[in-house]
Amino acid sequence: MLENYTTRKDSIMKEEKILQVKNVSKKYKNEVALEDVSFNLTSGKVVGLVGPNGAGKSTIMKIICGLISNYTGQVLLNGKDVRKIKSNKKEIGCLIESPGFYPESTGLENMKFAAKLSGNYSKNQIDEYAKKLNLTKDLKKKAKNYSLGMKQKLGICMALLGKPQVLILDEPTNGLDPSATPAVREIIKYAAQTLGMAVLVSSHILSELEIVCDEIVFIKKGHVLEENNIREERQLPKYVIETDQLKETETELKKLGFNAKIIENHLEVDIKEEELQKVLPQLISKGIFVKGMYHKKEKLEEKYNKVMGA
Amino acid sequence: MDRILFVGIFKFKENLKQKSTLYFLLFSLFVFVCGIVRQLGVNKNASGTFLMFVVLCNIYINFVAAYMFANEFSNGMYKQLATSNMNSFSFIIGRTLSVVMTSAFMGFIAIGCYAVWTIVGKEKVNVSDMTGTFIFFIILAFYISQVSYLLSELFLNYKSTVIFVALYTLVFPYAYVMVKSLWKSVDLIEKMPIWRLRARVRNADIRVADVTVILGISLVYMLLGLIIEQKSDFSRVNGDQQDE
Repeated sequence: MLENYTTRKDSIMKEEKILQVKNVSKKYKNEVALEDVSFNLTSGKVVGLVGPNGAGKSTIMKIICGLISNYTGQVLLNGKDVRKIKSNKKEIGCLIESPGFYPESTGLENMKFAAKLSGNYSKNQIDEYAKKLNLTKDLKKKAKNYSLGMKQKLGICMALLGKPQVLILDEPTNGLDPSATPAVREIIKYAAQTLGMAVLVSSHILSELEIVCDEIVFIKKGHVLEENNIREERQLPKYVIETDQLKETETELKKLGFNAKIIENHLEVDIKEEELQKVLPQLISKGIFVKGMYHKKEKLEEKYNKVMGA
Repeated sequence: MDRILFVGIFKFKENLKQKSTLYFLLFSLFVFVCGIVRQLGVNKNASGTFLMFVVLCNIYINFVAAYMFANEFSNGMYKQLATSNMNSFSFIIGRTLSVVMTSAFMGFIAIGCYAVWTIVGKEKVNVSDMTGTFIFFIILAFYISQVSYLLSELFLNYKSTVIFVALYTLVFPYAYVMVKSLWKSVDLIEKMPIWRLRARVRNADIRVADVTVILGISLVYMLLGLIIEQKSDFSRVNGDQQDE
């Protein structure tokens, strides 16, 4: 157990590629569900999968989980094709579409079942996850009497049990009331940052993904349109400069080595705040009058619309 | 091993909580009362009532086995199982164990009723009938479990599995005999290995050949199920594609 923990810790430090999706294509009869899809999942990181309905999000998630085996390309888990991994060596926890549970059993019994099957049963783990998702007081109720949100929470807990290396969550906030959403967000972060899991999460609530994800994969009609490292983008802020001398400002900034671009009636530049403070006097000394400037953060929704061509 | 036992007990308990178990118990109570009434009259025949009860239990166990092997496709648990760290064979044995436990549970009820009927009717207890029936119940549970497993892997759907288990065990044998009877006399009990076994067990005439045939068929079904499972594509499971 300690050895596993140490290995997991090491892999977070190294940010290892736990799962690689390589050129995966899948057809349903004559309909293309996925075409040459590739991306990686890294330990300790959360990857968001976004796209419109029918984009192929659930299909790729099912392929990763081994629920679909008839496809071309490869999904490698720790370097081994998931189709060839024996079930007793799988390291994937999943919540895909609706959560699965035994309706006549209580939430606690269902969680025990999932934990036992994972081969890593721990009462403390059950209590911990239930507490994090505010499910403790409902654990003794029959699962069939749970509300949609409670079922979703139960599904998330069951996916986490056994501490898998890879966690796949398809629409985890589906059916949750707004007060429950932060708890789900926190447990996703906890799974990645503390437990070192490689997490893939899909959702239509882009503002939630923006908060929780390190990377975003945009998918449409079975094609990956763009992969975006939003964590890095957050560290590379964009500033908007308002001036009447757009062309001159752009030239000066480029001379100073910054990526500047005129967009309509303003100038956008990739620059950190402290660098901007040094650059501003230089611009003024060149006779450029800066009317105003502000920090621009492109929201995921804007990015989504741009990438999807909406 | 403890996980196999855990799965067996978990699913056995899950089935006990179902409404169908309540209906079965109510039905058993009804048969029990009818049996008592019969034993109080002049036409006593505890063995005859017992046989009828056993046949009905046999029918019920078909549905239980289909439930144990295919309900994961209706409650969505197949996704959990596919990503679990438990191998297919262990899970089959676990589920078979749950069917065997249910069968044994029914066996105890049936034998209990029989014992009371004989006492009430002051008839002689036929011990071989009781033990034979119990042994048959266990073998039947193993056999019908593998039938259910194979059919569940073929259809990946709970309702279809239930329907085809019922067709396989209840309808096809009669259809076969009726069609064959058009040109040849056929004894259904002699023709169907599982029914032949039951008839002989009741007469304390357990033959190794009969048991071997049933166990052999069961193992073939299990093997076929395992082969199909390795090539399973769960995109066929109802409703999954539409939900995306």
